[in-house]
Amino acid sequence: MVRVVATGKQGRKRSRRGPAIGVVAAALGMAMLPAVAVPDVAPVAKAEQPQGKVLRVAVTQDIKKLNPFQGTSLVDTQVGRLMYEFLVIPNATDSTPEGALAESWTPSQDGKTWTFKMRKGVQWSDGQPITAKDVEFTYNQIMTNPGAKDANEVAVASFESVKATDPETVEIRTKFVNVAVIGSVGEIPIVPEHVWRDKVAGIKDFKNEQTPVVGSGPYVLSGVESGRSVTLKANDKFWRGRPKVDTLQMVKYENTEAASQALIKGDADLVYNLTPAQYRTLEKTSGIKASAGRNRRFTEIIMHTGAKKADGSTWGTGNPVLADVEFRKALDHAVNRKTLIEKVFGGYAEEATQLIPPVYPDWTFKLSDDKKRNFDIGKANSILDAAGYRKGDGGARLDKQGKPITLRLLSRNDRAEQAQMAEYVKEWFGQLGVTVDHKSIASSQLNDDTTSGNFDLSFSGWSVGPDPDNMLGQQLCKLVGTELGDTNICNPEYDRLFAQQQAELNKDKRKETVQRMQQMLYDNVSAIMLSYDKLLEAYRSDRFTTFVTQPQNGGIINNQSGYWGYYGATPVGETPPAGAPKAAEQTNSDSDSSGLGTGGWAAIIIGAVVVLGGLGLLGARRKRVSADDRE
Amino acid sequence: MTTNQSPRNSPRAVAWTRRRAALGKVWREFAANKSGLFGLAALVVIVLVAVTVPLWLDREVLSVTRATGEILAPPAGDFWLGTDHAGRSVLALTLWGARISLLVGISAAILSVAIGTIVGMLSAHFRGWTAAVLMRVTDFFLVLPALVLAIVLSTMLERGVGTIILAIGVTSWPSTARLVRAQTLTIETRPYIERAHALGGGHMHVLSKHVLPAVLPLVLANTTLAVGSAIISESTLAFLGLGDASTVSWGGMLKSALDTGAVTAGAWWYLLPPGFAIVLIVLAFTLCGRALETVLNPNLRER
Repeated sequence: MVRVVATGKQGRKRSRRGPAIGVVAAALGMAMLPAVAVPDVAPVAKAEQPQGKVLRVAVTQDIKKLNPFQGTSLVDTQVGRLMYEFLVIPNATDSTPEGALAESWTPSQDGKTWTFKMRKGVQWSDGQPITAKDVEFTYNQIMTNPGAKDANEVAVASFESVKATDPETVEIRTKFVNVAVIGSVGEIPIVPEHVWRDKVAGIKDFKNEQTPVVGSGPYVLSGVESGRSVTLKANDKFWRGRPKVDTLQMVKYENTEAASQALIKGDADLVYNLTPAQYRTLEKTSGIKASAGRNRRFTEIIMHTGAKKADGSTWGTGNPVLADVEFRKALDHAVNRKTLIEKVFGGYAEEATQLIPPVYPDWTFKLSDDKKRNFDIGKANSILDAAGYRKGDGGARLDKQGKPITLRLLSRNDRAEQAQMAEYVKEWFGQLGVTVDHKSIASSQLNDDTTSGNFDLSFSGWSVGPDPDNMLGQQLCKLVGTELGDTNICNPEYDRLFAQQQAELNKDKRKETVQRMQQMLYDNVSAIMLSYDKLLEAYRSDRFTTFVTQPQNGGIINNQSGYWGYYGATPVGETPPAGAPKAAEQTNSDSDSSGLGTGGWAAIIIGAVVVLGGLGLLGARRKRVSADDRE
Repeated sequence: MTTNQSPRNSPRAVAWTRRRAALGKVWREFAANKSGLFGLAALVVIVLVAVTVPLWLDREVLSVTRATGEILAPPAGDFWLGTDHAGRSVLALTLWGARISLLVGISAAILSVAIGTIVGMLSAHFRGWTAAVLMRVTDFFLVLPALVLAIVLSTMLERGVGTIILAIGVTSWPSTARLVRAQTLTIETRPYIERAHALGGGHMHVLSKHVLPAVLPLVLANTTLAVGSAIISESTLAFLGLGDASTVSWGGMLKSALDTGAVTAGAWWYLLPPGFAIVLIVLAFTLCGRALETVLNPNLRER
């Protein structure tokens, strides 16, 4: 100690040298010793003394909005699903709508009125009965109160009125025939009128954090530590039966690396959004079971195709070559999805062709092999030659004005896999003579740039709901240049088909229309579709035997469009909760050898992954997130 | 002296002889410093590698689409330091990464020292309100955490190497300014400065002909030290994801390693080379700078 306190020049020198070496040590330390990062996090997990059987979920996105009228990010809506029950919920098996607060529902003759019969004897966590009045109150807030629109405005867009005709019956009238009503209803959490009645004036700023929060889902909110953790307790009054986990804690970690280390050390019980490298290690770690779940999301590169906004105004500053479908085709031919999936996603993904992922087999796009655009640089080059894009000096591809083509490509700096994919894309497009100017930027900036049209190419991706209506609706002409617009392409014929599928009561005919719509998008190269990503997750198998996945066979635990994963969590030595669907045969045959090779899991583990997670992408796209998470 | 006008003894030649002698003396003293020599040797090797690497290691090795290795394979055979997340050789990446680290480190250090020297000299030469204003500006930058300011700058400005250089350069000069100001103040009290003033030397003349040469040795030593911290700042910014994503840098490598889960995967070969490279290069600059400082600043010499 004494030496350190040397005075005079030596002292000054020391202090100047100190920080420099400190930083090196820190840089190295960070690199070499994962343990360094962990102590920071451990106290967080212990911040609140949880009681009974605890499930600690490591999340990397901030849980910001617990008000279900406001929460739009994937993690916010996850918590919302746990706190408040819905009229109808996508089931665990295959995401088809299943009764929750509503026991049954019937459409009227003209297809415009839906009557929901409420389940009897269901109570809020404070013991009050849940009635049709609560449903009417919640829906009317979203439809009429400007402060309550943020999260679910789109879901009620086609609704004309919602009325409780008696305490057990709700009637929803729509403006036009809309088969997607049930899907929409499956996204709206119902809040208790007796608690929220006096909150309606300031609903936009109401945080909903004064615990205990009265709810109706499997868990109720019991504690919030801003930016660190959210604690929920089992709801004794949950109509399906109390969950077997007493306390559910969502703990914020800085990144998946810290989360993985916490799982290994036993500070966390469930982590997700793992990278392939983390996944492979956790797979081999004893006491941990890893799963690559079939997810409901896709990754794409959107292009600025020069479509005009709904009011006819031009939009942003896209490179005009992208308005040419031949040029887009060439780009699509130059992307090797197999390589991306193998190298970037570690094999945990499938090649994407269109918007609806294969977890929804009814709606996913079936592309015939002869129409498929395969990876073929030579073909891409000849398409460009044929379309009149000459090669200039040094092999640079020239546009019609004779200027070398440079395309800006945006990726999010918090998504490692996007930066990785950008490196590949840059090299492939380089082989066409097209220069790519890749910029990795903050997610909020990317959202601004893509919404205002100041980009040429940008990575994007969405989680898709069980009903294709919403995802397909994001390609409509009226959404060009808005937060909700996905590919920002405009095709009146597509819009016509969209209205047609919405009013189509015959499911087979509707399927056919949905196929045609996706074929149309594919032919038009509305976007460069990349992958249907798997969600890589891992949990402590020495503490939990099962989680219910969605879809039940090889699906995901987190980021579901339901509460099945957390509700069905079964601690070691317990039986699954009465109301939970049976978990697929992944069960607990070995709890300490990490499930390596155990039949069920091994079979489930097929595909691909999101490097830093669905969470991230959605979260950063803020408002898009809302849509992202909206089915 | 004025009587002898032969070329060998012209004032210029005399000055050069004197300078050569001084340089020789500096070198002898520097050479006596073992650690300084070690630092210099390491620097020469690193700079040589960085400058010549394009001549003997094809840029191809940085291509992700043409990478031949397995993903995150441990050191073996063709890949002495293993492979990264795309199957590229970590050794090749580390060698190529030296270029950007050196470029940014040296440029930013020069920028920072230039600003610091000008501000320091001006604030010492022109006392009064000029000095007051300049020193308050310096204080402002001194109390502001440089890293935070650099992060803000590199977020606001266009992405690229230039931005990083600028961000580090304009945030790290205050200590140089302080140092140069102190040195300028001591020098300006010396009789020869007074004599120059008396002979009609203007501000420009005094500053450039008398003060600058006198502070230059100190500035040189300071620059050498500043390069080290600039390289660390560059690596830090790159590690935080604020660097230029299209170039290979050591900080960027550490970031990719962390992002892709190399720590959990136990891929030490992906983490250690860039980490050690940073340590080595900063150590080399620091040792060199310290040795130079001891030689050039008599105050630091052991008695």
